[in-house]
Amino acid sequence: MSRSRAWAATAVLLTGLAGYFVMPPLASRGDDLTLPEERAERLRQELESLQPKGTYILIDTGANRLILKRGAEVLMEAVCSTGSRRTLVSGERRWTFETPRGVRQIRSKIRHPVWRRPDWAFLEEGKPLPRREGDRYMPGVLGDYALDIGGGYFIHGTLYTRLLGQNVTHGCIRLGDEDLEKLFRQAPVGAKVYVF
Amino acid sequence: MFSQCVIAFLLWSDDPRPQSPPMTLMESQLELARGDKVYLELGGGQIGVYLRGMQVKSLALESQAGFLGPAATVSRVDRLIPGLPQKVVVACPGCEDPSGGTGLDDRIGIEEMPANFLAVLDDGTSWLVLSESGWKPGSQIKSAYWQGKGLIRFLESLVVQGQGQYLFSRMKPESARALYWAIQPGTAVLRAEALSERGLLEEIQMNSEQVLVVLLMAISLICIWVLHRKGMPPRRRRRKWGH
Repeated sequence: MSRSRAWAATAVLLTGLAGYFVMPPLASRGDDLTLPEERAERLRQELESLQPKGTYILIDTGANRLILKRGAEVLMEAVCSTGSRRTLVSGERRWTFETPRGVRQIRSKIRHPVWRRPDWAFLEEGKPLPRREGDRYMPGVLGDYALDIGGGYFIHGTLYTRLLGQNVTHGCIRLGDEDLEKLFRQAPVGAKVYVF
Repeated sequence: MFSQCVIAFLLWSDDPRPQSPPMTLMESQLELARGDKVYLELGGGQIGVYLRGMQVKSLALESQAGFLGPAATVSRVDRLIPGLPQKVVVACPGCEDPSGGTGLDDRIGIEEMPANFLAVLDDGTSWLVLSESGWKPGSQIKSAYWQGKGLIRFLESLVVQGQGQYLFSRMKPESARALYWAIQPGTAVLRAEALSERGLLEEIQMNSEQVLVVLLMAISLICIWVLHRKGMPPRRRRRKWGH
């Protein structure tokens, strides 16, 4: 590289750095970020009204943790299992086993739930789809309790307790027997469920 | 670091760039809190994961710097580079599930999420998240690779969209993976506070060891080139054709 080119490159770099230091803050380009006090108060109230009232559930799908809270108080903390995020393909049909994130609520609480096996449960095991509806029902595999959070998703028990803490489910949230019983007793129908 | 210097140079001319109409932070928060989707809030030295106005998770930042628009701006994740890892199982009639129904073989856990990635936002912002640090040569190369990728994406947004914004976040690997897990294309990102250029300066200072590595690499390359030139036979003058 010739000396003149080296000087030119240095000049370009220094100009850039000088520009960076003298550049006025982008954030202060005349944007008015203040609100009249009355309107600010109304917005504050509306924001507060969105906060959960009473008991609510937090489900961290990344850490596989479930927390039951009332206000800031933690009532219960448990290891759970959530969706595996894997995709099953069978011909034209496709399922991605993910626990959907967002806000849901407990719609109903069920004792001794019976699992109605969907198509993917058979296809995944390489079995043909049953001809009789009765062949889809399987008691005992969801534990003693289930909490319906809508969209076909439940918080329920599991036979695979050694897999708790891992992303292995088809979208439902699995809990150990003791934690499931505690949750069943303490979380009322209507309680908000925050899945993230 | 190099990419940040180039970006500083490119942003030297203080040209007015199109910006969304000003909105207060509280208005933006409320707009997002009314929805049922997960969104992020950047500010206060952390990235907050929010749902319905409630912070459900907080991810600590080691440092953050960038050139961004005003605070209270909401943008959405357009795409992630690299994309979300996928595991696809094709159902095979008569075949047994190798995992014995546990799904353990094909799961995608948080540990499989990338610790370095680039999120391209719909307003042209290139958000580079890096977790590689220290003196390990591998981490320096990875860091340089991702910074180069961030720069290319930034230049692309400047040329194609006529505007470009840049955000650089350094986090611990586990926090970076948790962030990648939390975001999906379409996830809203709210800037709760404007970033000062001071942050970029600090980042440049913090990355001074990277500069040294890059300089050493450059010197080595020059040395190799010079040695290679010395070892070559002298170039013959090309004979001119014709008279």
